Parts: sequence; structure tokens; C-alpha cells
Amino acid sequence: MTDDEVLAKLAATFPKADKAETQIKGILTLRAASGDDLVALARWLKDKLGFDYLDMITAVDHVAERKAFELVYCFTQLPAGQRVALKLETPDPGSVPSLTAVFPSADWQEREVFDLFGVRFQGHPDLRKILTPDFLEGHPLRKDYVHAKDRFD
Amino acid sequence: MPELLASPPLPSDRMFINLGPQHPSTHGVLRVGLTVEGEFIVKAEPDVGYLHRGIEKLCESRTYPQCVVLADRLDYVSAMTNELPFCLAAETLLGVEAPERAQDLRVIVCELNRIASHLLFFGTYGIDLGAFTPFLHAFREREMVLDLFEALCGGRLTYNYIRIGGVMKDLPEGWGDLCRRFLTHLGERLPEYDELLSFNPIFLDRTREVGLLDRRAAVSWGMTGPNLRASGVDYDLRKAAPYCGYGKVAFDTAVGKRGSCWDRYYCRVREMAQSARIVEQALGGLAAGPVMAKVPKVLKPPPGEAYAHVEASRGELGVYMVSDGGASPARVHVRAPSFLNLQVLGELLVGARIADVVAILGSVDIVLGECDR
Amino acid sequence: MILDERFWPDAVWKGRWSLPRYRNGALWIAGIALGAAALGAAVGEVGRFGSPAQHWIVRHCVAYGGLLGLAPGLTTSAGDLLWILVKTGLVITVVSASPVFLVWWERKISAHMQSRFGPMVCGGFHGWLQCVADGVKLLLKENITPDAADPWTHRLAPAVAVVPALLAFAPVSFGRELSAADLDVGTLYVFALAGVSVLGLMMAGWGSGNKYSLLGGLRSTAQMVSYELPRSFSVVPVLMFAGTLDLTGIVEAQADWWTLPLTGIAFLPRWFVFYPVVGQLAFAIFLIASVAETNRVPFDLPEAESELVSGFHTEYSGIKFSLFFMAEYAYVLLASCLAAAFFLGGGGAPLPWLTFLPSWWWFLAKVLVMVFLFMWFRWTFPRLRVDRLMDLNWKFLLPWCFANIAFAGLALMF
Repeated sequence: MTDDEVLAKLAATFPKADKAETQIKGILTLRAASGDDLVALARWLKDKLGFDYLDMITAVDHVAERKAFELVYCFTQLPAGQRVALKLETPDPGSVPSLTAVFPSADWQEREVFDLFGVRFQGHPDLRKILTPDFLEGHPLRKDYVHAKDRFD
Repeated sequence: MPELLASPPLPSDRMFINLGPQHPSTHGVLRVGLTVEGEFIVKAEPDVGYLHRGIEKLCESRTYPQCVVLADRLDYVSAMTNELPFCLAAETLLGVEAPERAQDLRVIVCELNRIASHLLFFGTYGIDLGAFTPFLHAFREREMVLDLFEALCGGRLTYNYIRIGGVMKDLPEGWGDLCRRFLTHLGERLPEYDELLSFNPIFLDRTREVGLLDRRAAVSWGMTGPNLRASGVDYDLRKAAPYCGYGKVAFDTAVGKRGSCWDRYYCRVREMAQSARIVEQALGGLAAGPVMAKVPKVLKPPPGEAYAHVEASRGELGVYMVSDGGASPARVHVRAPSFLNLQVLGELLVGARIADVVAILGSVDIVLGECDR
Repeated sequence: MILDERFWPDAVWKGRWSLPRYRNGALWIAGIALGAAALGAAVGEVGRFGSPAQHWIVRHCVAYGGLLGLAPGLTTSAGDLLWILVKTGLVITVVSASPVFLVWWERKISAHMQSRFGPMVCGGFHGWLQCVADGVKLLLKENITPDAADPWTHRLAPAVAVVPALLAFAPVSFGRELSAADLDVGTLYVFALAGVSVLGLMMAGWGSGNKYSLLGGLRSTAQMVSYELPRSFSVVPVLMFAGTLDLTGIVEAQADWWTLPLTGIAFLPRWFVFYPVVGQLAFAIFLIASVAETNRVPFDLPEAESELVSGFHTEYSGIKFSLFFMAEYAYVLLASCLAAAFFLGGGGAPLPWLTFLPSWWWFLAKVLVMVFLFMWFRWTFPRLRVDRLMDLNWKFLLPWCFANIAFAGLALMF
């Protein structure tokens, strides 16, 4: 289905969501209005439109400009390979509903975003650090992260 | 978290065993906490992060070409396929396209690297299950591929060959013939590997009924690459959304039926033969021309976002790059296939025997460098 | 230099006879085989020296004893005892020294099967001193007993594993009149002692105080106790045909040849492995069970490197580890000697005109072939999973053993 068809269906079901300002080049990027919409939108993409594969979850630090993190989700429709991206802005100490109920593969990716950025996910079964060592405090990928001297320095 | 370091309080008939981080078969530094009852596993918790080097953070303070150097170190077993999505993303941001000859060369080196990576998988999977000889045979062939790469760009493990805008340099004299000789040699060896390991009754016995993953589970757990295809999903990025020169070559995808360890293993063995086919065709249809497009010395792409993905040896490797107009990217995220493939272990290992852990873990074929970044 | 032809082996493999080093290697092997045959033919039957040597020792003991004024009965017994000690010493020396040779052979065979060279440097000629060097290294390593270990169990385990292997070589006849002890119940004695070694492995697993070792010890106990049954039962048809438990007697029962009907030319030796169905089946089962008993791949789950990090001998180093190592190779040698004795005719020559080569030479050749088979299996097959291993034993080997005994009974009737 073409991008315009997706947008049309989106306007019909989720009036508050629309195309994102900055499009990822080559991929239709939508913007969810709020966290409450996120799970419903993801479920709608999976069940109704057939984007049943969660490709990526990541976050971008825009705290300096907009005091918010921008979460980026990407869904694929197997086997055609068509993609749709979804963006969600969440304020700095914020939390977002977890997608693990809809897509089990969101589990570790959300843990990674929590570990590296500090964004909490409500409803996640086991939200704890995954990549950074246990003694590390803070969230390294934030732009305002200052490395505190630890026992290896 | 402290509770991961000590054994949790357990009822008396269960034992907590740590598989790793130092263990001959965990393919890198991985720790899997197994709660076993006798010989059967009741709970499995993979613990990653031992090899986390902060590559994504490092990229934010490096220029774009320097990021490509870091990309080599992700999946160090098949480094060329790591550089490619970085370069494709940067090229999308810049709005340049590599010349056709460079695209063909990229296809050749990526497929050769896929062969090398699958040879390593084949060898180490044999060792995990106790067959020592296939490992050395596979490394003999892998040595030839590494020799080819060394002649091409000077590196054996990390290459820095695929650059933003094209490739580093053209093929040296006689490289094509040497490559063809290697491909003929590989074609003769692959049936030997089948005879030695793939259809060995003991090997079949240990992998055929183990680690079954059906279509729905594979898709919902985010598996990609041979793991996904072994479960019956015919999704190969080189065919679904051809990039570089893949539109010009013809090849088959290896699709399994049941999603057992053997299916995942055999998909990779078949992929080696298909990769050889691709390289043969690409060598024959090599376009003439330059190998590097005109890119400015200091790369400052206009603000934007790009998400490039390739079919790497382990699955779908994606690089999401955000540029704010400066010489360094504002954010680079690597969507690592091993990271997502490893999640399925928590479900796949429950109910398996300790002896099967190694078989299942080996068949998922992870590289911790890519998983932990 | 990288694009040089010398570094790409496919040309080498296609034209290997054109390479001087390949031709030299083949000449060396042929030379060694012929030299060994010539040596064998020249030395002749060593067993004929047994009786005269015994008499010589007893005579001299009586003579010296007489000088000292001791009673003749005492000195004859002393002489006999001395002769037993000499034989024991010889057997123990040969069996203890053979792991050195076997380890070297294993490394070279595995290397050539894996298209590489193996040890080449140490000692000059194809690295034959490598294993001596490794042995010395092992002896010089620190002898650790972990804190969590049961000290005496941990220390005694290697001894309990090795000693039965050495003892079990007593009735094995290395040629004509070349057995250390001519026991009437040789077979029973050998299998009984092979069973004692299980205790050693169990002690190692338990006494190490380590979860992985415990798992390895339990697995090895289960495996070895189970596989003793097909091993012993597969030999029963041999005993039925030979009519005796004595190893020398079994070898003598195979010393004849089958002849072609009209011409009388001998074409096949009467080795038990050539008996129509019974022999092959028994040999196959004995071989599989022996590989399992000696904990070698494809049955080396107890010491599965990639899963349990060395299993029951994880916590052993230095001389205790080298004793386990030696025990494994001694058991491999024992299994090969038994296979040669039970099924391949012991010291008997394959064809009548080949008897100029003495019996000990033929026995050595057969044992080396069997050892080569053991090593070949190790580097070819993957490892069986523990429950499949047990299934193989109880559901496949043992029923076929019993069927084989029935076939042997039928064969004996006709």
C-alpha cells in the first residue's frame, strides 16, 4: 500500500496523529500525539495494516532544544518490506507506555533506551540496565552526561 | 544489579548455573543465568553488556568518515557488511550516490564477507557439538577470503574499505582470477562439509528436534536473517528492497521449514553457495568507471535523518543517523541483529536440556560485538 | 606475496605427487613399514626367550642362595618371584610409556586430517619430542587441591583410575608365549578391572567440590556402567566359539585359515571378525562400547569441553591430570589389544605365507590399526547428547547383543 493510503487510513482512525515534521529519508514517518495513543497506534498498525514486525526502537536527545526526548519506532511489513516509522516526543523526566504487550521484541530495546537515556516505560515486565555496567550511574547517551571517574579511570 | 551476581534463593531441587561469561562456547562474552532442575532448564536469563564500548556515543564526537572506522568493530567477524549501512545512511543524508562500479564492488566484498562469516559459524558450531575437524577445514577456506581482502585493502579483520561515496580503491591486477579460483575451490568443498557434518546422523540427532521456533514466534521476537528464514519466513532484504548492486544479480534464498537448530544451520550453509553465485555474477558484470563519487573533504550533511539497512550475515543491520548540519552526526543508532536475536533465548531455552543450550545458542549465531556495540 | 601461488593450497592438492616433500613423505612411510617388517622378521619370535629367561633367573637365584646358605625351596621361590617382577616391570613400563607415543600419534593424525601439520619442531623429526616436553611440563605444574574439595577423595581419584588399567594388561598376550600371566579366566579378569575405573571417575567428580565436575562425574558413571554390558555381552559369542576364557586360548582358536574348496589355497584367516554375521556384529558392538567406555568422542560427554569445561577433571592439574590423561590412553590401548585378541586373531598372520613375520609384529600392527580407528572416530564425529547416548546403549546395542548370542548359538549348532 502506498504512503498516501496509509496516511488516509491514519487520518480516519487516529485524527490526532499525523506526518512527522522531519521525515526519515525514504520512510513514511508518522507522529503520535501522545503516549496514550502509542499502544493503540502500534496495535492498529500491526493488526489492521499488517506491519507486524517491530524493527527498531531508539531515542534521540533533543533536551537542549525542546526539553524532550524523541522516541523513534520503526515497523516493517514482511514479506514486502515496506516500512513505517513512528515518532513520539516525551518530556525529559518522562515515561512512555511499553510496547511489550504488542511486540515482544520491544523488551530489550526499551531496556536499552532506559539504560542509555533514562526514559521509563510503563508496563515493561523487567525494566533494568542492560548494556552499561552495574556500577555506572547515569544515562550515558544523554548529551548532558558527564562521565564521573570510576575505578577504571 | 546485585541480585544478578549472587544465586537467588531457590527451592532445593533446583540449581543455578552460570553459563559464562568465560566459557568455551558462548561466542564472546555472554552470560546466561540458567536455573536448572536436573538436566532441564526452568529459566534462562541472558545477560549482555560485557562488550559495550559505547560506539553510538563515540560516533557523536567523530566525523562521518571516522564513524565508518568504528563501524568495522561492531560485527568484527564480517566487517564489510557493517560499514555498508553507515555509508549508505551518510550518502542518503548527503544526497550523493556511489558510482556503479563501486556498488558492484560493495556487493562483491559484502558477499565474500558473508561467506567468511558463515564459514566461521560452521566451524564453531561443529566445535560446540564436539566435531573438531570441520572447524579447521572452514578456517582454511576463510583464510583464503582473508588473503583476498588483504590483497584488496590491507586488512584481514577490520577493513575500512567501503567509504562514504564509494569504496577505497579499485581491484588490483589479477584479483578477479584469484577470486574465481577461490569460488571454484569453495564449490568443491561445500559438498564435503555436507558429508562431514550436515547430514551426519549424530549431528542431525542433536539439532533436528531442538530449539524449534515457529513463524509467529520468530516474527514477534524480532529475529532476522537466517534465523527468520529458517522458520519459514521468506524475507531477504537483498530481494525485498535491493540496495547497491543486488538488483543485477540472481540468487535463491534459503528458506527452512521448521525453525529447528538444524534449519538455522543449514540455511547458512546454503547461503554460502548462493553468495558464491552472487560474487561470480558480480565479477562478470563489473561496470567500468570510477570507484569513488565526488564528496567534499569535510563532510557536513544538511540536517535530516536517514535509516539504512542491509542484510548482514547475522540478520538485518540498520543504521539510523541524525544529522544537525555539523561535521559529526547528532545521533547514530545501530539496530543490531544479534541484540534482537538474543532475546528469544529466554523463551527458547526453557524446557531444553543443558546439553542443548550450546546447540541452541550456537545456532542463533550471535556476535557480542554487534550485540553490545 | 599474498597473490603468490604458493600460499593457495588448491594447486598443491591437485598436483601433490609433483611436490618433492610429498614424495619424500611417502618414501619415509614406506621405508619405515619395510624396516619394521625386516626387524620383525630378523628378531623372530621373542616369546621363545620367556622360558629360558625364567630358568636362567631361577638357576642364578639358587646358586647365589646356595652360596649364602639358604634352602633351595626358598631360593626357587625367590627366583620365580623375581621373574614375576621382571614381567610386571616390563608390562608397566610399556603401558606407561605408550601414552607418550599415542599422544604424539593422535596429534599428528588429527593434524593431517585437519589439513595442517601438527607438532614439527620439538625434537627435529616431526616433533616427536613434543609429548615428552608436554609430559615434563605437566609434571612441573603446581599440584592444586581446591579448598572445597574432599582432600583424600580428590587425591586418590587419579590413582584409582589408572591402576586398574595397568593391572588389566596382565593376561593380554602380546604374541606367542608373551603374556605376563597366563590366566585361565583372563577375559573375566580384564572386564572386572575395567569396571573398577568407574570408581575413579566418580571420586574425581564428587571430590572436586564443583558443580560442573559433579555433573561430569555423574554422567561418566552412568555412561560407563551402562556401556560395560554390551561390551561384555558382545564378547560372549567369541567365548562360545573359542570354548575358553583364556586370552591365549582365544587367540589360538583363530590361528587357522579357511581354504578354497578345490585348490586348498588359504584365502581368509579364521579370525572371529570374519565369521558370517555373528563376527561382524560382535565386533561392531564391541568397538562402539569400547569407545564409550574409554570416554572418547563421540561419547566424551563426561569431559565435554564445550559444555562443561572439562567435566570431571576440571579441577585437576599437574601430575594428577597427567595420570587421568595416561589412564585414558591406557584404556584405549587396552581396548585395542582386546579387540585385536578377541576379533582380529591376536598374533596370527592373515595368510600362511606371511608367517615369517613374528606374532608380536602382527599383534602390534593390529593394535595400531585399532588405535588409529579410535583416533579417526574422535576427529570425525560430533558428540552424542547424554540421553541419546543412553538410548543407544539400552535400546539398540544391548538387544542386538542378545540377538547376536542367539545367532552364535544357531551357528554352533550347524
